[in-house]
Amino acid sequence: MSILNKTIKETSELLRARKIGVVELTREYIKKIEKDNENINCYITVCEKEALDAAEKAQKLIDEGEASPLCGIPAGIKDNICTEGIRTTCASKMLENFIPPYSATVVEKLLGQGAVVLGKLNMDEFAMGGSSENSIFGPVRNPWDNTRVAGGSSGGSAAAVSANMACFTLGSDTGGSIRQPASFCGVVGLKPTYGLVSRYGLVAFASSLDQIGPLAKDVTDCAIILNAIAGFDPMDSTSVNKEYEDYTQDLEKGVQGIRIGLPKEFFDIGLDDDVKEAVLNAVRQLEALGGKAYEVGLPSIKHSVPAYYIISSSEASANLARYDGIRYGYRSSKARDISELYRLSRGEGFGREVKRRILLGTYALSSGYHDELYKKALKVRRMIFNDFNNAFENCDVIAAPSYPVASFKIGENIQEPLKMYLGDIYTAGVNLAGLPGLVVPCGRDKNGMPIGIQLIGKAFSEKLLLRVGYALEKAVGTFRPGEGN
Amino acid sequence: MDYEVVIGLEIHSELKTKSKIFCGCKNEFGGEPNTKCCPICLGMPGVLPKLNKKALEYAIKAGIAMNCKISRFSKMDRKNFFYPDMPKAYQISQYDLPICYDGYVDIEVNGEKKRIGIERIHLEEDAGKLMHDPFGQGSLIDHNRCGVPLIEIVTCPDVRSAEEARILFETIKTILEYTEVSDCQMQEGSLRADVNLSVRPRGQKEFGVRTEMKNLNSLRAVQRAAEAEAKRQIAVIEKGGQVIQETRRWDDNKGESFSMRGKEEAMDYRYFPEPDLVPIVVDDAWLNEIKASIPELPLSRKERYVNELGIPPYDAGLITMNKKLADIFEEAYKVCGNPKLASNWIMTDILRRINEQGDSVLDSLNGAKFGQILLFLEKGEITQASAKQALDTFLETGEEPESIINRLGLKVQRDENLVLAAVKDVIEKNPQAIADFKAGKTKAFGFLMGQTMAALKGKGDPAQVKKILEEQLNAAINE
Amino acid sequence: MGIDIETIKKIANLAAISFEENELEGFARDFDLIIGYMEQLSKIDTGDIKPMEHVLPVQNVFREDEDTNQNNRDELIKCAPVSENGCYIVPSVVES
Ligand SMILES: [Mg+2]
Ligand SMILES: [Zn+2]
Repeated sequence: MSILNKTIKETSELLRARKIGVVELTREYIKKIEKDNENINCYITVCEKEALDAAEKAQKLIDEGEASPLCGIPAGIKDNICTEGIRTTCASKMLENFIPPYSATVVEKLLGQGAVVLGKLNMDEFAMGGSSENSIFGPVRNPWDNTRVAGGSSGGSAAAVSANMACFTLGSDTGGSIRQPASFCGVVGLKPTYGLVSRYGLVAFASSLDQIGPLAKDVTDCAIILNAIAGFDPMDSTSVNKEYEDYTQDLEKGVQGIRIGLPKEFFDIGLDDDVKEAVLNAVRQLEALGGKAYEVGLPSIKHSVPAYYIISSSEASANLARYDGIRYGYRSSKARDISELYRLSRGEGFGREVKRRILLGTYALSSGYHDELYKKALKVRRMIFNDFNNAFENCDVIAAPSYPVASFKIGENIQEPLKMYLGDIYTAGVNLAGLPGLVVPCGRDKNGMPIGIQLIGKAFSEKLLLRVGYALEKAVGTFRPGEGN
Repeated sequence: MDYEVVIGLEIHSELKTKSKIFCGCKNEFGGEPNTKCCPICLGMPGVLPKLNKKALEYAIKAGIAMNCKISRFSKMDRKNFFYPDMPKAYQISQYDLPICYDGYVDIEVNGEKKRIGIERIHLEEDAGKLMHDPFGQGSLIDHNRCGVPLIEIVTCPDVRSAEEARILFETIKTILEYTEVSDCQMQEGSLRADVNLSVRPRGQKEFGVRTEMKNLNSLRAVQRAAEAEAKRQIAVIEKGGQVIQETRRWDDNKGESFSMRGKEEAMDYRYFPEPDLVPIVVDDAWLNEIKASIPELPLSRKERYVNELGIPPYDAGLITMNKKLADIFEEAYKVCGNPKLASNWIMTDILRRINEQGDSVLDSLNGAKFGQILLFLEKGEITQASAKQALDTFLETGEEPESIINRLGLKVQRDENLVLAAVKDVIEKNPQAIADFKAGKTKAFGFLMGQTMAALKGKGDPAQVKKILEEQLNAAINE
Repeated sequence: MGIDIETIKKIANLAAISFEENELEGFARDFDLIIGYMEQLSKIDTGDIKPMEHVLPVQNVFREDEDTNQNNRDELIKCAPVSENGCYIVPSVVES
């Protein structure tokens, strides 16, 4: 079995046993990227030199015996997470040549642990989209079927793990952007509780919803990465100051007596039969292991998509107002006055979907619609938050689909924005409520495309989520493209 | 027709924290462009703000000093608009829950106290500076001021004349200086006022249409701009026209205001709560701590000076307008024991020095040392002229007053023989004056007195000199 | 309600985004559909529910007033598409 197939845990053991060196391992990954990226298109930037330098340093640390579990592990970073000296494009013409003079806190943390950053991963422009087709660098292709999307917006992050082009990756999730592509590509993805992971250096889309999280080959790896990136950051006022937890502990504790809530609203109309069957089958597996399934209600969840789009677009309209061609980013050469500098730089620098969201947010905040749309959405947000709280009185985790279907064809939905938006029905509410959501592969549809179950927990219950996910993973196995599982 | 002017002020005051409001960059005026900047105050992708606790405390302090209620629950909001020196294209400010609200300040107009409402004081960030590029076609942006903490003080439209507007501005400036939240350097733009003004026929209840004049940066400009704008509006109405609601720019050199065109649409700021910053909750303990840090304010000081120290109201008002001056007065009178002596000296000698040399004189004037000089004077150990001389020397060298007085030999000369000898000498040398004195010309006495003092090098005790001179003159007349 | 091209132009102006004339119609069509869907919010009875701005029960997060100024002007200004002598440049802004 190729070294590239190995998990973080396995790779780390091989590195420590001197079965392979970090530089050699890094070269293997770079070779793989050189071979397959043309096809998968998950990398926007590969930083070979920096990676090899980091690999040498990591090898020294391992030789000194001081190695953390991520030391020497090759990783990919979504291209909306700032990396000092390495361009960070957000898959946008606006930031095509932006080289940040600073790194995101999560990147500092990974580098501090000796991880090797291979490059920056493709995505929907400014993380707006669910298919990674909205990228000036072209769509990401699903490693399971190259005619299909990898999901989005962290499509590159999911595809890179699935195609063995990184041992693990970081993505960001505002309304499902880690979980949905994880599901589409058959990898494990975790959207942490809002405030658990610092947002400093994550190019903001919707500040009250954004959260960085890991995508990995299995649940154990997810826990290892979360150990490295979670925790208070003085640079982020919304990061929470709480005691350190070891997320790898208790993974094997099993699910005996764990109450699993099934929201009836989630298994209603609109859900593909294969997806429904795969998710319910996974729940049955958990029951077989001692879990107990209950029906729960989330009566307001049906409003999560409009509330999510109003809130996220409103915040985005302000967050993306700074791209004006003055201090960084794209600047139109046609502008004759200051007003044209703004309008043309933004008109030419942003893609269609980004402009649509900015307009939607501007509209929702403008006088006359502010109360009817924006403020109303904030009220609905509280209703959804309350719904989850109520549901968690009767269960420990909620089991849900990640998306109404498995991966769809490239180009299939891109002309129908509203249809794309409606797909976020199972994921966006989790962001509105600030909760953690873990996606674990659990089956495949009639086209052979992977399906992931979404496990939703109470705020800061990542440990329990990972434990349930781990039990499920042991029962159903992991999913790799090209292996006949 | 008789018109009434209605004015409200919006005052922006930079807070004198060490660092900016959301990042650790230095809060300091001037310097090379863009050298006091970081990714946060430049609004670069992915960065986050973090609120400076001191800035918030200064805002609360200013609010308490202006008798405001303090919001126990408050938050920051985003105010969206594009402007080249505002990097995020939104200003982090406060919208519906300002940190301070419903306050007042008392001003004195022609000896009468008048209360002006303070609608709100909120905390926000300052923008950068646009400069015309002398060599190129464009404008240059300097972001050093970006993110400097500001408070915006919005008064109620309770002001009824241009003079009142100036007095209000000055009163608020004094309060900000007393509470030490701002250095109020108007020439550096750290304190500036917008004048909102309308006129209405006296007796009418409804307000007229108002205009706004932005960024006035002197007391004089506020008064002149308000006077001119009131005149302009009245002229428009008298001619049968209508005042247009607009923003106008005051040109202090021309003494006129100009309409700022190009804002055809009303701004839609699309305020919403800043998601990157968490709510602000002020509890009793914190509030009391801030309250305790507020010194006695000018009006209360003035009343104390008048009622307890017997200082004339005019003098007390002038002294308390300037915190440094008032602090010098307090220290000086406590050391010399005579408040009136101290205030007289300030009203004459010190004010003259300020007029000649500017406010910086006060930086080298130590109130206690000044008081020591006055104490020598009070005890009759030096003369008025010697006191001035000692003060001059002190301001130049900072030397201890006692050492100055000894070194220069300024102590009063009381040796009766020496004084008598001087008097006799003067009488002998000035026969004409003696003749004049005999003829009843009292002026001659003053002349002889001066001559004697000069002979004593200014160190004679005037009372003693006078007594001996009188005795000798009488003796001479009776001869 | 119905979003027309004029509305799009107005919002685009507020958001400072230029559009090609031929883009506008498609945008208006999509926008009309999306806003139409979002407007279901206005029909929801939210009773006396308060708007939720933050999901975290966190308050009073401050930094101390410390000057940590580092002058990396040269590094920061490298990100600018145009600059001159340490200044950022825009087309002339004159207040009339
Ligand atoms: Mg303001
Ligand atoms: Zn800064």
